[in-house]
Amino acid sequence: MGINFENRRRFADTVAVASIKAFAMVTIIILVIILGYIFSKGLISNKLYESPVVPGHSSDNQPFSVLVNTATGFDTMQYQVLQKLYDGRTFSLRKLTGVDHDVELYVETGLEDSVIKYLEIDETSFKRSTPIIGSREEILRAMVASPGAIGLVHGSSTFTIPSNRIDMILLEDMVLAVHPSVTRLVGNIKLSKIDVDVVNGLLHGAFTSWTELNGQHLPVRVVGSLKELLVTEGSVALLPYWMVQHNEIDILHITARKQSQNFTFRYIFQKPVEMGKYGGISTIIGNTLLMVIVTLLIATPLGVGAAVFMVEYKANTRVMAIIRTGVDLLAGVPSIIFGLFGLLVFVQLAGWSFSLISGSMTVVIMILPTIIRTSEEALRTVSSGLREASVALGATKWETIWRVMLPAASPGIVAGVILAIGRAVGETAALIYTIGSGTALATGPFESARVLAMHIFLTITEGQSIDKAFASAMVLVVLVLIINVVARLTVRRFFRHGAT
Amino acid sequence: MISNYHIVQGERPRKHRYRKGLDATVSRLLLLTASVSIVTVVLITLFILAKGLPFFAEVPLTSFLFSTDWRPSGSPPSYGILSFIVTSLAVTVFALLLTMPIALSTAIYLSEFAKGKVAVTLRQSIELLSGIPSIIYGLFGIAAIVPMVRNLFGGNGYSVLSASIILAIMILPTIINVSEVSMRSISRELREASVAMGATRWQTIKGVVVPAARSGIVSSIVLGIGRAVGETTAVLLVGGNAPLFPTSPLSMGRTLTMNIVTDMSYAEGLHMSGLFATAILLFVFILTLNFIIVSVTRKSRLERN
Repeated sequence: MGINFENRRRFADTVAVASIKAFAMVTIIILVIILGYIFSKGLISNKLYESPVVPGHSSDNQPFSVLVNTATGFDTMQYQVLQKLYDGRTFSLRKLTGVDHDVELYVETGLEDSVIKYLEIDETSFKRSTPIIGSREEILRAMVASPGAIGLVHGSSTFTIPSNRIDMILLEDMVLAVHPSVTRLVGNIKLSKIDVDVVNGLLHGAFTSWTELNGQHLPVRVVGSLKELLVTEGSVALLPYWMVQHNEIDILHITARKQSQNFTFRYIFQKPVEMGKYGGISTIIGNTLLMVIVTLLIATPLGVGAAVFMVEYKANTRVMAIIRTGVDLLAGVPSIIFGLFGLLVFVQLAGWSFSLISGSMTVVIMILPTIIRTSEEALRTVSSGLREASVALGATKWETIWRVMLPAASPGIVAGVILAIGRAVGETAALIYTIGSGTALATGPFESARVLAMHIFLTITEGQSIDKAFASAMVLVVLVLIINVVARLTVRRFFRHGAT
Repeated sequence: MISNYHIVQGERPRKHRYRKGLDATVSRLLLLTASVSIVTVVLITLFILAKGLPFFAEVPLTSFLFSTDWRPSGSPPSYGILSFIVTSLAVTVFALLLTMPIALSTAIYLSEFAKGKVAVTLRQSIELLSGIPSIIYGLFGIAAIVPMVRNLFGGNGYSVLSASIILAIMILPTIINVSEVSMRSISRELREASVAMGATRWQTIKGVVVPAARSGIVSSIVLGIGRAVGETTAVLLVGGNAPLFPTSPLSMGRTLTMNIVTDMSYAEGLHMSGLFATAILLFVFILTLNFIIVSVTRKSRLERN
C-alpha cells in the first residue's frame, strides 16, 4: 500500500516535471517558427501567377521573332503582354517585370502590317505605342543601348545577334481553348483555371472526366482543330491565341506557382516608386534612422536626467512618489493613446502637421519610461563608495554626478537607450496619425516621413504586394536582432567592468 | 608655494559661488526632467477628456456602453460600443487561456530547473520574443495564423480566435518575466523545508512555490491584460474589424483600439468625439490596471521589508 502510494507520487512528479519542461520549450519553438517564417517569406517569394497562355508552347507560324534587351528581365514573352505593349497601353516595365525602365519598342521595316494583324490591334493604337521602325541592323544597334528595348524582327531567316545584351525569347501564344460546356456554371461548380502541372496530362489523355479537375460531369475530349472544338461537348484544344480571340472562344486560364528570390540587396538601396509599390526602401530606412536620431536627441537627456534625479536627490517622499507614479503610469499607456495625444498636441495644437518631428516627439514620450527605468537601475548599481570618495574630495553634487556617477553607469544607460531604440524602430500605432506617409527622404523636421514599420503596415493595409511586406519585415527583424545583440553585449560589458 | 596658496584663496569665493550656483540650477533642471513623465500623463488625461467628454452631452453614457449598435454614419447615427468592449475582453481572456500554461511552465522551469545552455537559450528567446515589433506579429498573423484558423475551423480566418493566438504570443514574455522574478524571490528555506518534509519537486512547486509567488503571478497577469487590451496593430490586421457583436471565437470582431484607429482618419464632429470617448474608456481601464499593479508591488515591497 505504502509502496504503491510512493510509486504513484514519484510517477506524478516525473510526469509533471516533464510536461513543465516540454511546455517551456514551446517558447523557443514559437520564436523559431516566427523568425523562420519571416525569413523564408522574406527571402523567397512563392507567388501564384495566372495567365491565359500555356507556358512553353508557341505556334509554328509566328510571323516574327521577339528580341529583348536582357535588362528588361523577360525570359519569355506572353502573347497578351506583347499585345498590350504594341497597343500602346503599357509604357513601363515596372508592372511586368518589376524593372524600373520605360519600354522602347522596335519593329523591323516591312513587318508593321503583320504585327497589327497577328496581335489583333488596330493601326491607330499601334501608332500610339510609337514603335521605332528601321532595318534589322539599325534596330539591333539601338536596342543594345536601350535597357527597356523590345523588338520584333522577321523570324524566318536566321541571323546572328551581335551583342550578349540582346536575347531572342520565346513568344508564348497558345491557349487552352474549350467548348462552352466546360466553363459553364452548374450548381456551384465553375471551372475557369487549371494548374500548369496538369496541362500536359490533359492534352495527352490522362484525364477522362472534367470532374477530376474540379469541373463538371463531362468527358474530356482532346481535339486538334477549331472546327472540331466548336461541335464537341467537353472538348479541349491547344490553339493560337489570335484564333481564339478572333472567334470569342472560352479558354482555361493557367495558374502556376513560381518561386523566385524576393529580397535582394538592391531592395535596400533603391528608392521606393509609387508609394512603395515598386522599387526599394532606401529612403524609408533613411527616415527610420532620422526618426531614431531625433527621438534619442530629445529622449536621452530627459530620461537620464529624470533617473539621476530619482537616484541622487533626496527630495521629499511625496514628490518622489508622484514622480515614480508618473513613470509607472506612462509605461503602461498603450501606444494608440500616445498616437492620439501626438495627433492632438503635436500635429494639431503645435501645428507641425504629419511630420518627422510630430512622430518623433510622440515616440519620445513613449520610450521615456524605458530609458528612465534602465538608467535608474544602472545608477543604483554604481557603488556608493565611488560617490562618497568624490564628495570627500570636495566635489559638488553635480560634479560628482557628471564626472563620477554617469561615466560609471554609462554602459548600463547605453544598453537602456539601445532597448528604447528597439521599441522606437518597431512602433506603428503611435505613428499612424503623427508621422505621415510620404515615401521621400525627409529633408526637414516638418516633413512627412514614412518609417519602416509604418511602411510594412501600409503595404499590407493598402493591399499591395505581400512579398514586399515580407522583404521589409525581414529588414526590420534583422535591425531589431542587431539592436538586441548590441544591447546584450553592452550589458555584459557593464557587469564585467562598469558596476564597480 | 605661499604665493600660490594666496592665488587660490583669492580665486576661491567666486569660483565657489559659481560651483554652488551651477549645482542649484542643475538640481532644478533635473527636477524638471523628472516631472516630464507625470506632467505628460496629466496632459494625456486632460486632452483625451477634453476631446471625449463633450460626446456625453449628446449621447447618454448608458446607450454608449450598453448598445451594440455602432452606425456613426447612419441616420440617426448610433454610437454603441458594447460589441467592442466584449471583443476586447474576449480576445484578452482567450489569449490568457492560451498563454498561461506555457508562461507558467516556462517561469517554473526557469526558476526551479534551468541551468546551462538550455537556460541561456530560453532566456534569449524570451528576450527576442519581447523585442519583436507588433507589426511583425501582425504580418505573421495574416500570413500564417489566419490561413491556419481558416483551414482548421472554417470561416474566413480573420477572427477573434486569430487575434487571441497572436496576443497570446505577444504577452508571453511579459507574463514569464514577471512571474519568474517573483518565484525566484521566494526564500530558499521555504523550498528546503518542503523538500525536507519529503515532498517531491512537483509537490514543492504546487504546494510552496506557486502559492508563495501568487501576488507576482497575479500582477504578471494584470500586466498581460494591459498589454492585450492596449494592443492595436497586430489585432487590427488579423481580427477582421467588423463592428459586430462576436457570437463565437470564429466571428470577426473589432476591439476598442481597432475602433479608435479605424475611423480616426475621416471621422468628424460627434463621430470623432465618440472615438475619443472610446479612448477615455480604454485609458481609464488601463490606468485602473496600472494602479492595481503599482499598489500590489508597493504592498509586496512593504511586506518584504
